[in-house]
Amino acid sequence: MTDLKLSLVNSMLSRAKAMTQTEEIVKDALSNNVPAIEILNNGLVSAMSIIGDKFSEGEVYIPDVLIAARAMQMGMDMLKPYLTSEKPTFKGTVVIGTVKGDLHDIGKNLVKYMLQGGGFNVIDLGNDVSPEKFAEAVRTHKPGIVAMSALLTTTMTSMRDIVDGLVEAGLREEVKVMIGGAPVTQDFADKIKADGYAKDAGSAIHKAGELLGL
Amino acid sequence: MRLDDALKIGTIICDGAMGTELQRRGLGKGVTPDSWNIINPEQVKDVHRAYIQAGAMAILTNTFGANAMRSARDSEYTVSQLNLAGAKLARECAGDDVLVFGDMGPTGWEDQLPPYGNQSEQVFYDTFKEQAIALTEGGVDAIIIETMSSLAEAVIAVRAVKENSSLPIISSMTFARPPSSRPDDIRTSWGDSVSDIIKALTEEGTDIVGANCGDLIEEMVILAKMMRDLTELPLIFEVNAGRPKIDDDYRTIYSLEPEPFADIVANIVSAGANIVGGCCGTTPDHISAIKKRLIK
Repeated sequence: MTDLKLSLVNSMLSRAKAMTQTEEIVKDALSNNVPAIEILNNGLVSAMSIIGDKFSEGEVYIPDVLIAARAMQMGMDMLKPYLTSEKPTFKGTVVIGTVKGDLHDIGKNLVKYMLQGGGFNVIDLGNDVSPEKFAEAVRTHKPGIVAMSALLTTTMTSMRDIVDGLVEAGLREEVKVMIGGAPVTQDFADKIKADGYAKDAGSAIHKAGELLGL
Repeated sequence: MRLDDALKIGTIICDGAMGTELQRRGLGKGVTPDSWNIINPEQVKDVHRAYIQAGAMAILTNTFGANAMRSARDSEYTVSQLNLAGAKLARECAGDDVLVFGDMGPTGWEDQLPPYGNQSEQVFYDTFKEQAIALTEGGVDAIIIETMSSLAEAVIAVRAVKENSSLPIISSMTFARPPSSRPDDIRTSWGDSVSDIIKALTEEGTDIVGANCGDLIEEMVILAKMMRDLTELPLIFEVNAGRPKIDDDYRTIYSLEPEPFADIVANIVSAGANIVGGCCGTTPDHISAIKKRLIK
């Protein structure tokens, strides 16, 4: 099984060949009767987690993560028909968005791919998300986690409004709040009473799992 | 004062952060800094003047996100209006003696560029072109393309400015912390190396190259040496004031005080930089500290 995980890490990181090589490995595993759920959890999901760690450490870069996420998605689609009999349950639901007026979608998108790769159901509210929209999403989707991203020092302070918005709406106790982005720090997370802070997309899966007690 | 003349005279000190200075003057959360070019120009001028007073010889227009794919997208003002206004305000404060750099930031949509996304290069080109034309019309002395993490995007931006303005072009990239396994391998978060960046942007026509923002603080000195070894183009570095913290009033304060910040900037100048200034978290005090330090 370790062979499967490691060979998937290699295939998912092989850029131009990522899609074809990953497809081959998944096909092979299926024809060798490896259970689909194992290929998913111990193969693809574990590989994505390793790639997330490599990204955190600066060993691989954004293009690597974008391509790996695509290969991951393709692998998951290949497994879908085999998984219907054994319903894989999501580890949890995460509502994610970039705060109002911020710069990048990419941080949020990377976290989304990581979380999806990690087995979470992700509801992406997009960017420019107001406190009201976050609160409404919590009411609608009842997630375990609300995740927020900001890249600018001028917009990160909006995260406090979102936490306050959840308190006002009486929803704060029902979710864990996770924040991240270049200027964000643990100190800031503590000050605005967020539940957790992830330094980058790679650490986000670990933090999400931790917050949900997995 | 022209940019090439100023460069011949000596090190150019540019300004520091704008957004946080506007917030100190009442800019609300969720309101874009560039909108104040039209709805509260006096405060924008106040910031420009504060930096000039502190010693800035060049100021950047308050137009960092004012492109069609970012803040101008949802604004009631057009890209043209926001950038023209920003350029004019800066010019009023700068007069003839201080340089004005028209500030262009990233689109925020770099992951949509081919081969990763579905957006065409043309859309990016047109976005940068529109902003460059407005800034040029507004009377800036040079265009600065900054905080770029993606070389692919930066190349399109430089090309768009080159083909639509005759002003000098400054390109500044944002770098990430290198992995512990390869501490000298400094790249952007997109994996672009220093040598690839200098080669590509020089070919595209940039007149000045450098770095701003990002994870590197003291390491900017190493980056300056690396760049100086690779090019004879003038170099620019705008450094963050360390890492952000939140005080008990929920105000963002940065950890690097003016004096230690100025020491790092002085080292960057020794390493070969021609233009230096501050990025996130810097204030007029940081700029006056640079001025004092460079006189020593």
